[in-house]
Amino acid sequence: MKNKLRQVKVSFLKFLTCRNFISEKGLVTAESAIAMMSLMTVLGMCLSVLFLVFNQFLLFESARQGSRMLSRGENEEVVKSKILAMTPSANLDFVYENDLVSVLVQKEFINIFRILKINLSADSTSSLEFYE
Amino acid sequence: MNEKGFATISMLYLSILLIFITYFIVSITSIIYNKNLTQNAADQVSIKLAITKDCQSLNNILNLNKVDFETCEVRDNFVEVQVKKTLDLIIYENLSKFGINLRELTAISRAF
Repeated sequence: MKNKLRQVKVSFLKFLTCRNFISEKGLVTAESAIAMMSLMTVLGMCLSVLFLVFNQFLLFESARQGSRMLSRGENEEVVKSKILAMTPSANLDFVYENDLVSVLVQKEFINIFRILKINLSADSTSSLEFYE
Repeated sequence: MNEKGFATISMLYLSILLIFITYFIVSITSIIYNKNLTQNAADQVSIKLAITKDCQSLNNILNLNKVDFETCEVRDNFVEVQVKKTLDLIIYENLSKFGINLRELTAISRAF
């Protein structure tokens, strides 16, 4: 009688929670599924960091090229289009100071980087070759 | 013995490995990035020096490119300049963990 009552109780709980309380079948699979999600999250974070590093290189390269072009007397519009082709949606700033020209390139990101307020920037300064 | 926690522990090890690899890549990349910055600064400074032929006139461009002056030579047919960049303390400490004791990066550039 006691055993029968226990069986009914277990069957009722199984029905309620869709889980098997007696055997451990599928436990590792379920655990792996949950752990895999956290691994994917960590992988995503690592890839995001590498993405930021890559973008920092790109920004610096465009700032360097921009300042060299300006120092050789290139038109600002041409320099702008060249930099924007390399780093789309970047904010550009050209600063002239005596015989020097500085190019500051900033980039704001979307999605998670925007929430974390992560902005990247790079600058480069060259001397004007045709300064009078 | 049962298999409870087996998957979690494996994933934990994998996560630690992933984070360590990323940390290592970022540390090494910071050297390459700073070397790029230093070489670019040396190039810009040498071009200015080739125009002015005056080592005293380089302070402004050195400051703006965030490097320090090391040597400057004006010769008959070319100029040579060497600059150095001191790495940030945080980068230095990170690199020290991998046995890389690098405090300064130098770059040489010549221009006609």
